[in-house]
Amino acid sequence: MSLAIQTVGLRHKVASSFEIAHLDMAVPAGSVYGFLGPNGAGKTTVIRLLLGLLKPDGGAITVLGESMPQHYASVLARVGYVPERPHLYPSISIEEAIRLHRAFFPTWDQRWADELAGQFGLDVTRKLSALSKGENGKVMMLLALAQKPELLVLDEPTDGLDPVVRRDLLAALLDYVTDREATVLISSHLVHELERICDWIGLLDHGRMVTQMPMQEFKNGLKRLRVGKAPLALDNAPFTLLSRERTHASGEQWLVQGWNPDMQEYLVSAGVALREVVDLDLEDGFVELLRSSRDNHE
Amino acid sequence: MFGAITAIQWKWSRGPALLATLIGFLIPVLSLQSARRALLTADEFVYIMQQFSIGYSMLAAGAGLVVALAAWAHDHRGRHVYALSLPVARWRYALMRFGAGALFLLAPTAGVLAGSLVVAAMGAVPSGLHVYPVALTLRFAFASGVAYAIFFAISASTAKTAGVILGIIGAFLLAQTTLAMLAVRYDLLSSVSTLIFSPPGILSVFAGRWMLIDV
Amino acid sequence: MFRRSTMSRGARAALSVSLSVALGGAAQAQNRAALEQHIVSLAKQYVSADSAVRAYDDSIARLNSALDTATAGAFRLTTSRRIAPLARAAADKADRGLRDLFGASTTRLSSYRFVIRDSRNRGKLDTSRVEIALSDSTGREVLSGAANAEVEAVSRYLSSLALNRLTRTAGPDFNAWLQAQLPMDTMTAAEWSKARLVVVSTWASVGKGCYDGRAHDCGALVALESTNDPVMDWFDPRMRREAVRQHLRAFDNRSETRSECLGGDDASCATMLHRAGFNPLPIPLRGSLVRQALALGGTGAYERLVEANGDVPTRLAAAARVPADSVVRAWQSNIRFTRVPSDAMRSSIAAASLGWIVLCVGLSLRSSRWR
Repeated sequence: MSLAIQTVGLRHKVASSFEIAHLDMAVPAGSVYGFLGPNGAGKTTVIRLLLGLLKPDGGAITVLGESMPQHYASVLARVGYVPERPHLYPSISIEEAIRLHRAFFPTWDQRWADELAGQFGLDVTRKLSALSKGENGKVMMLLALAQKPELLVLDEPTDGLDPVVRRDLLAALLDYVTDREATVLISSHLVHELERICDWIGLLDHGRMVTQMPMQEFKNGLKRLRVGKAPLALDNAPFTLLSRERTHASGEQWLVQGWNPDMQEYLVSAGVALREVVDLDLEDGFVELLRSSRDNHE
Repeated sequence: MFGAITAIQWKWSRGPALLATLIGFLIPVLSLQSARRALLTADEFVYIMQQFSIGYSMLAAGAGLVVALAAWAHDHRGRHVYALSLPVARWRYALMRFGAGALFLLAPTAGVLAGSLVVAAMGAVPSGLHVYPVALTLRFAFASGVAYAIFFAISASTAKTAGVILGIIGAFLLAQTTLAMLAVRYDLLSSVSTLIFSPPGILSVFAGRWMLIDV
Repeated sequence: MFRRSTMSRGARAALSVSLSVALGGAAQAQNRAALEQHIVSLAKQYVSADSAVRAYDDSIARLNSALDTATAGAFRLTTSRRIAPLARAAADKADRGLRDLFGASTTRLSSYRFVIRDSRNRGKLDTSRVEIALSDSTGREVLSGAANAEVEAVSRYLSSLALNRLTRTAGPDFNAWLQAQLPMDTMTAAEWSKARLVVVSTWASVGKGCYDGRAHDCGALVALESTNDPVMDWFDPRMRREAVRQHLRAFDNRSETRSECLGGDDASCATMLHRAGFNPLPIPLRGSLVRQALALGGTGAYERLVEANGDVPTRLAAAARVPADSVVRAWQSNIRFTRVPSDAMRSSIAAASLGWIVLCVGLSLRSSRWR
């Protein structure tokens, strides 16, 4: 499996109380990678490190086969970036922003840019300072898509936008991904939104990667088990026990990863009485994973 | 790329640049009108022209400053995120920004040249004196270039570097004050001024006589 | 300046009687007493001042008694032992310079003695400075000062002292005409430009005439030619009025004549200017004429200038070895045509500016990506 983005042991100290510590990240080429995490987890910081906007304190970063930040100029020519906050010059019009942006990207598709402008309902003569948050978001998406990048990096692109705008943006994104087989790294704390479009998931919390896996595996393999008569230790369990908590005298609640129904046999052999298997949706899984990760670190 | 950057930067700089062009045209014309209005001897005429000469140096410094600030202001406001996300080496980007601003400074330089040529054409100069439109314009061009380059460099630097520069200036002022308090008779300010304003000091182009009409 | 003098009582009395007789009358008896008192007071002041001068001379003599003597070319030196090598080196240097200009005339300096001694600051030896004085044949110091204890500085000071003595021999008429120290060098292009500005700025019409090519006007401008009535010959009515307005402000400010003049009556202006003896020819131009003569004359020009007998044109002609008219014409030509490149722009300024621009651009290009 080739990787569009890879980090090994990435380190970056943001403040005395927060740092990205030994982050190992792998974004498969051609995937839509959902970069999840609560507010303040460090998602934007990681994205900036990937794009060479921040200097790492240690570790290795490889984007589209080239090391970063050394080769930032050649890498960024193949990357479409939509940051968390509008980063364009407010005093220029949409048309001028398009003219400026396309001068830097030889792969620019003006026809498609015009199409997107129509699709998004943008008046290109208007100044960026006069646009709403949603319209600014559409302009940034237009610029990122029209340059036909191999990698799209979207940092909370729909945050604070109304559902209509969110739908428009995600629709354009999906169209692009379908046509081009591009890789998309999209960060968000809106879990349900990513559930629809992502095929890989990475969960970041306090600068640490809690887990990263295919979406299906995440959704299907993460279960809450209600058990009884559980021994203190489990040997050679075929699943990953993320957390266990006592619910009543002889009962426990387990959060496991990598579960499939065949594993009931193991529980029987271990003397565990399986009472219930509860499916978790992405949001539940996200919350449970975070909780167990934080508990383990305490 | 350079064209696109120049177009956007001109949008931000055109107001000050055009104003500087107008002022650059008016200073020579007004100086001649002032000198002619009073029936003066040649040395008094030269004196009046010298009074106006401060206008050229101030205009050069002001035009350089404003164009330099305009080059970076919008990037500063956006914390340079857009510029840094472009697929162009940082030094190339800075060079293109510098080149665009330097082009804009041609406008006030042309204004000074036009005004000086009008003065030369009016032929109202007392005998024994000569008009030097090209020399004055060249000096203006170099002075505005130096001012632009200095402020461009400061504006292009990080907040840390700007802090260092301010720190140096602050340390110098502190040293001068300390010497004065200790009754040490060494004028640090004069020494540094001499270093800066005497050739080949960084601001030596601003010092001296900016004479459109001279003996 | 002050001579030792005591007036005897008899002499004072004789003087007062003489005065009272001259004044006459009983009323003058009171004046006589006052006069006597005044004379006594003056006498006391004379005595006191004379004592001070003698004390000073004595102290100088005591100082000089500890000094060595030496000779360096035309310079007869008296120096402190410690700085004798410095003094000799400086005097040699000054002598060489003066000999180039004055030739054998420098022998006139032999009647003077140049004293170079240690400098003291509140009694303590100051090794960074030396005192330099010029003594006449009686040993009295007529000029004195101080300089940094360096050969160049002492040499310059010795030269200026020597020049002060040598130029006195150019004759009182010449010195009265020049009204400045005799210049030792020739004009630079920049100085010709400044002189041109003086010529075209002068109030007198001879300035413009000289610049326009009339050699006779140049002679008048530098006071080699004269006119009976400069006020009428060299000024037009407008300039006469301006001259009264600007130059005669100090006196006759409220007079009727002045008001009439400023109101447009040229005769009133002429009257005022005649009364004031108005003739503002620019003095500094005369020095430039002398420097022109020296430039034309080359080697020995100074010597010929100071040795010649006669009026100013004669001395100039002797210095230049051409007639005075030719000197004036050469001077006029330089006034009219010698130009320097404009002060507004020099190649050194351009080079320095370009260098700084390149440096600043270089620093800008190194601006960090990390913010």
